[in-house]
Amino acid sequence: MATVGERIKEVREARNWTQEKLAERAGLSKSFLSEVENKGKNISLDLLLGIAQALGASVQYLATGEGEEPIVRRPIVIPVELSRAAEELQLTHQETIDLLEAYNSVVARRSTRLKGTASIEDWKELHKAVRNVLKKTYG
Amino acid sequence: MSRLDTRPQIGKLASDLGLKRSAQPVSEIVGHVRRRVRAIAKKYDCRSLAALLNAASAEAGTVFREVHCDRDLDTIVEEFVPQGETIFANLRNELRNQDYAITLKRRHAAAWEPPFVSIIDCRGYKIYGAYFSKWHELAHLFTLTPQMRLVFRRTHSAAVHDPEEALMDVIAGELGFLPDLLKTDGREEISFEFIERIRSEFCPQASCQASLIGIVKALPAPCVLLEAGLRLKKSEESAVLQAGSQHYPRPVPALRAIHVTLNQAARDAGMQMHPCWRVPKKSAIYRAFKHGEYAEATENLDWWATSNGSQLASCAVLVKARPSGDGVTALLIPDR
Repeated sequence: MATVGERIKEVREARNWTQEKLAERAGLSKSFLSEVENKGKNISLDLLLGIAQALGASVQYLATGEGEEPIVRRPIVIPVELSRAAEELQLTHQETIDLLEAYNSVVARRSTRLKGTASIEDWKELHKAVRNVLKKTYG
Repeated sequence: MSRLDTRPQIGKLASDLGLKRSAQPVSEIVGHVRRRVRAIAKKYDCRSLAALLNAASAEAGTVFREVHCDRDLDTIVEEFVPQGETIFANLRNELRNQDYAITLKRRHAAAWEPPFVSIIDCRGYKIYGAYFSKWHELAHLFTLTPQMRLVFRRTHSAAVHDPEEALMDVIAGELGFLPDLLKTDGREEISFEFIERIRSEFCPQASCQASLIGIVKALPAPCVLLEAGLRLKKSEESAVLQAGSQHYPRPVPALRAIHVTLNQAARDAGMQMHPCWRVPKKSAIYRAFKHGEYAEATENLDWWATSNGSQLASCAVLVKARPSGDGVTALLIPDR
């Protein structure tokens, strides 16, 4: 099983960073980082947090090797408004699902805007904004 | 019990979080998040609110990306769209004038990457709300339930303010100024300078106004924060509205309490203060407004009275008032 140091090294190399670069960004000495990566030297959680933030990595992953919990598949409910927008835009089922997934990526928002359920026009507007990305993904 | 406590969405959220049934679900939810954040502060040995914010974002699985200009927004779009994160292509539409922050779930994050990205709009005046926005987004993430993780964008009832958003503001106000980290022992005299010193030491990112409210609420010693300005009485306002341009003579606005923040210690000490009440002319608050300079005096809350004879209970207080914008901000502290 990989150690914390090995996971730091794995992410650092995935980023194509040198030990010097990571040590500098995380405010650590290169020798300390080297000992953590190669000799399994213990590292405190607050220093690990600094490394995670420098790398843009999950502190949970670096500490335990575990990522996010697996997503349990549930039935997909397509809102009526999306269904109508998809009909008007002549979207395939997969394109409609992709649009719904993109929409559902928003988990929180701080706003003074009044919010309601997305209208047909909202779905069309979203499709207009993301259609080129979807085209690239699926040809 | 607050009005928020009676909203079905709040009761449902408390139930989804597995909290015990209560007539005050808001307190239950805030307490639940507070316990979680306190555990994070202990786990990472956080000594300041800035350190806590860092640790809490890591534990919530998000990274903050600040947007200070349109170019910053373009950079984020250009970074994430090629990684297959479709929704980022719509980011310019998602972050409009009235939006302060948004949290997006990454669909193609590597196992080692945080699953969320929280984009904080710091353009123009929104910079003053950035600290609060970060805690607001974290409040959402700390109250995400397994059910919501799959439903995502919450069910918003059209044309009404979402009670969950209001609750997140309550949580953000509490966490952004967690009393444990403010390190006030209650012995130092409360003053504007004292509050500013706490802000610059423990939460320098927070705006002055948010800090005043948040720190006063977190203080262990009794304190009332009062913002006063020229206002009509509610009855005068409605009379003017009903009469339109026909209403003569028009009532003259008087210096009144507009926003009042009582901390828990002040409530426990029996202190009272109400919005809309007229500021007594002999008060230092009135002098600070009239002369546009700092004023301080020992007064009694029973000076505050309404035209129908209601009066606050007697309580000797030290009043510290300073001009602020078109009005006055004042601290009222029991005089011992």
